[in-house]
Amino acid sequence: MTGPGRAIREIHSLEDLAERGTFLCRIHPLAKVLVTIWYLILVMSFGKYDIEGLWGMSIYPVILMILGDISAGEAIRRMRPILLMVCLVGLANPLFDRELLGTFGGMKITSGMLSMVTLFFKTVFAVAAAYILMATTTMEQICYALRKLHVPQILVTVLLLIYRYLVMMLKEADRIMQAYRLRAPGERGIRKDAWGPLAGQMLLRSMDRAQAVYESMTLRGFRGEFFLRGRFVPPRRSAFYGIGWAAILAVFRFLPVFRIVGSVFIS
Amino acid sequence: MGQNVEPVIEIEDMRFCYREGRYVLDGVDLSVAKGESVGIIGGNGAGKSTFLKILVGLLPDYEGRIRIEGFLLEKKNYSAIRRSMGYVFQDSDSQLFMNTVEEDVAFGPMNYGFSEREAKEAALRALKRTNIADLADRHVYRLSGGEKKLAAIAGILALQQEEGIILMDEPSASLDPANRENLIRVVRELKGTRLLASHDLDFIYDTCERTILLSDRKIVYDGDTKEILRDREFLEKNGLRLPLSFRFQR
Repeated sequence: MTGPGRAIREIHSLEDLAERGTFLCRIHPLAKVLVTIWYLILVMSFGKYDIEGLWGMSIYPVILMILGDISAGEAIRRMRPILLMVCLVGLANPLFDRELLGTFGGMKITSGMLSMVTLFFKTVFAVAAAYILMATTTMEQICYALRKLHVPQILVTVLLLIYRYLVMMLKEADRIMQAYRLRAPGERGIRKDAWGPLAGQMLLRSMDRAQAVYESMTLRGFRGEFFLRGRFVPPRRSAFYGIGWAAILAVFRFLPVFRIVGSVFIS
Repeated sequence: MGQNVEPVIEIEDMRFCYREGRYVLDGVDLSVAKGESVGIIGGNGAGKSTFLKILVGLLPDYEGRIRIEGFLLEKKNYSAIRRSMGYVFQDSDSQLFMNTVEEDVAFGPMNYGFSEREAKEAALRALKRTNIADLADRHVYRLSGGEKKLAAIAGILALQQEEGIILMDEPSASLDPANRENLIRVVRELKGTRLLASHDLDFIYDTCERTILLSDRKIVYDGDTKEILRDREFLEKNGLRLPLSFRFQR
C-alpha cells in the first residue's frame, strides 16, 4: 500500500471510532468541544518549568481513553510524527538554557532539560485531547458545535471542506502513485523529474473532484449550516459531563493535587 | 411525446459556451413532459454532461430560456428548482461525502429544513425505493461501485416528491451486469421525469421511451428510442455505434 493509501485508511479508521456509539460518542458534541478547548487552554497556561503541575493534566486523556475504549498504543502510533517533530524542536532547549537546577541520580538537571520535557508533555496532552475528540466525534458534529459557539460560518465550512478535500487529494495521490509504480517497476520512490508533472496532475484532479463535491453539496441545499443527527445522551447528562470535567481540570490546574495527596499519605 | 401532458422542462434556443464564441450547445429547443424518461445520447464531447449541468444551474451562464416546472432557470429560483430536480453525478464518489449511507441520503432533506425524524424517514423511503435499505448504516467508503450509484440516486430521491425530476450522467458507467440490471429496474420504477445521458445505448433502450441525440452542438434527433436504434447509419454518422445486441436482433 502506498503512503497516501495508508493515510486514507487511518482517516477512515478514525471515522469508524467516532461512529461506534459508545457513551463518549453519544455525549453532545458541544460539551466535548468545550471541554477540549478548556483543557487546551489550561495545558498551555502552565509555565515552562512547571512539570509537576502539568503532570496532573494527564488525568484527562487517561480517563477518556479508558472510558472511550480508545487504544493508547494506536493513539501514540498516530501521534508519532508530531511527537518526533516536538522532540526535535525541544532538543534546542538544553543547549541554550543551561542553568543548573539540581542533580538526579548523579545527572545534572538544567532548566533547559526541564523546559524540553514540559514542552514535550504539553504537546502530547494537547494532541491526545484533539485525538480523543476526533475519535469520539465526527467532523460534522465538531462543525455543528463550532457553529453553536458562533465561530463564523465561512471558517467552519472551510474546515469541513478541507477535511473532505484532504481525503480526495489523498485518493488522487494514491491512484497516481499506483499508476506510476506499475509503469516504473523496480524503481524506489518517484524520479525527481516526474515530481513536477505528478504534483500538477494531482492538484488539477483534486480540484476537479473538490469542485464536484462542492456542487453536489450545493445541489442538495447546503448553505453552510450543520445539523446534528443521531442519538445522544440527554442534554442534562451532557451538561453534567462538561461542567464536571471543567471543574476537575480547574482543580488540577490551580491546586497542587499531587502534593496534597502526597502530604496526606506522608502525614 | 407527451404533448397532452404539461411540460416540466421547457428549453428555447439555449446556447452555451465555456470560452467566448466557441459554443458547445447552440440553439437547443426541447420540451419534456411530466413522467417522461428521456435518453440523451451523443459521442464524446457532444455536450451531454454540459446539457445536464445547465439544467441544474451548475453552469449559469447560458443563453436562451429554460423553465423547470414553471420556474425560470435563474439564481433566485435555484432553491425551488433543486428541491424537485436532482442530479446524479457520473462519479458517485463525488456525491457521497457523509460517513454512513443514511447520513448521506438524509443530507439533502436536513438542508431543506426537514426535522431529524422526517429526514430519517425520507432517507429510509429513498433507500427502500433503490433496494438498498439494508445498507443504511454502512460506511460510504465500504460500498461497491453499484451500491454507491444506488446510494447517490437515493440521495436525490430523498429530497423529492415521487414525481420529481432526476438527471443522471452516465448512470451505467463501470457497473457490472448484475448491478446494471438492478439499476435499470430502479430507474424504470421511478415515477418522475428522468433524463439520462449515456453512451450505453442498451441501457437507454431499456430505460427510455424517448431519445435525443446531440451532435454538432445541436439536437439532431428527438424521437422514439427504438426507431433511432434501428438506424445504424445515422448513429454512425453521429459518432455512435449500434450495440451488438441490436445487430444480432436484426
